[in-house]
Amino acid sequence: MKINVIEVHGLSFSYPNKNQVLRGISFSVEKGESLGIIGPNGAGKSTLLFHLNGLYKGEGHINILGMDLTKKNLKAIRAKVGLVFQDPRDQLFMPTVRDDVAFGPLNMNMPRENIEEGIWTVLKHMNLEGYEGVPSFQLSLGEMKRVALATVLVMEPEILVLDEPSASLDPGQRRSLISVLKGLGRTMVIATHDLEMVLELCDRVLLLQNGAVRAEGPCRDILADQMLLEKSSLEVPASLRVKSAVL
Amino acid sequence: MNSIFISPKSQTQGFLAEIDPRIKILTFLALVMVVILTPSSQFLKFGFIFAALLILIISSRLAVAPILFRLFLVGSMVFFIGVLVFAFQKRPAAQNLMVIWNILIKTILVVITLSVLTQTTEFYRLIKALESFKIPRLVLSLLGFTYRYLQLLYDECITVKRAVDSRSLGKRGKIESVAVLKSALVHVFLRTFERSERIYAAMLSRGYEGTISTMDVFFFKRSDFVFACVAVIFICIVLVVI
Repeated sequence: MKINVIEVHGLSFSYPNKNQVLRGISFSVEKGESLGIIGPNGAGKSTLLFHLNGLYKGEGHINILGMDLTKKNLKAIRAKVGLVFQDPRDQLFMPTVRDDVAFGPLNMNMPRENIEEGIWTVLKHMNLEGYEGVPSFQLSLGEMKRVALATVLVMEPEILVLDEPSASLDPGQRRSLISVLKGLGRTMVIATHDLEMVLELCDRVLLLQNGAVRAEGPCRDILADQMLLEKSSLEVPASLRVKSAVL
Repeated sequence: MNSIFISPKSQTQGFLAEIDPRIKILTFLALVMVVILTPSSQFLKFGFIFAALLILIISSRLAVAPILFRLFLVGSMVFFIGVLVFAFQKRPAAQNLMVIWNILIKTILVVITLSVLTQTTEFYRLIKALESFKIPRLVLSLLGFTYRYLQLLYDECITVKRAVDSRSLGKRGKIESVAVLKSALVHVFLRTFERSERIYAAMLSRGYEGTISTMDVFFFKRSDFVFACVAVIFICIVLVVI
């Protein structure tokens, strides 16, 4: 039986300056599924992601892992939904990599021995062994991205929410990030302009435009629809263009 | 980020860095109190304290430049106060000099003492140590955020300066420079504010509820005990013997 781990119904949100960013958004994500959220700049992708972790509160209904997103459930939801920010410099604020990675688990009151083990495991997994004592601000952007992901993975979230994970990465770093994400086998929601990455990682796509859902469906169907994508200032990924040209 | 004021990573080597921050806070604050309460005519006491601080700086191999820079800033302030004292106090010159000496020597010693403390203890360990003295959480959170936001402000200043420099061709007039500086400062504050909001959101998303937790757990070691004993003996000698 398929279980929805994320259910969003009629979500609307306006910033204090009355600028309405989300307009009646509804969608769901099944356990183990990867959903790509695409759309032009200013479509509301990041704002939508911030709702999944309870950082923003709009009108509408959000249910995460069977828990309604209310103040009472906020702590439990934040422990289950790992949010990776677009700019890793926003996510790394502690003096060293070790402190940054330990920040979330300490707030979750995990036993210290488990945290130590978790830090070691996750840094090894992210190819960051030996970086424990390094100040986060001294890392390259690609390394910061990996540390930012590690700070979330160490909390063992059931749902991973990523905002532009491949932005500012060189091709090699992007490739290694994709293989790490592929190997995680978790429910993922990825907001990005990198449609090639969406093709590789996502099962379904949600296309946002002006804060509303313009299209939703299987990855290949949406990403191969040239007219639809061009109307949203996007373009068909090169790999799909090449395939259709060959056929 | 590399600011002479906000050292993001304090020295983590050397014997002082190894001492429990709680012991360091207590001993250095006691030393500050001794400095403040010592009458200005007790030159020998000041010399003794200065020598002790010098030994600490050398033995811990601390960077001297940040200390000198802070002393320079404080010295400039004292110079300004000195001018005011001479201008407005109708006392004999010798008395005025004594007043300035009092301010100068105490400021210098306090700045050096606090520099040694902060340069050998990471900021978050200091906060953690203050937490164990039951300082209210709100105060510590404010301290932590102020520190972090100062770092952000510095970062954004550098970024905006780079943007201004990259589009500056030749020398600007004074009025033009002021106009550029004014608009650049507005940008710096706006960007810093936005970034600080994002960092706060990132903290919340990982379960932050008002306390910055770290993996550091403080244990009293033998070296802490020895350091505390030496500090107490030193302070007693300064207060009683000299």
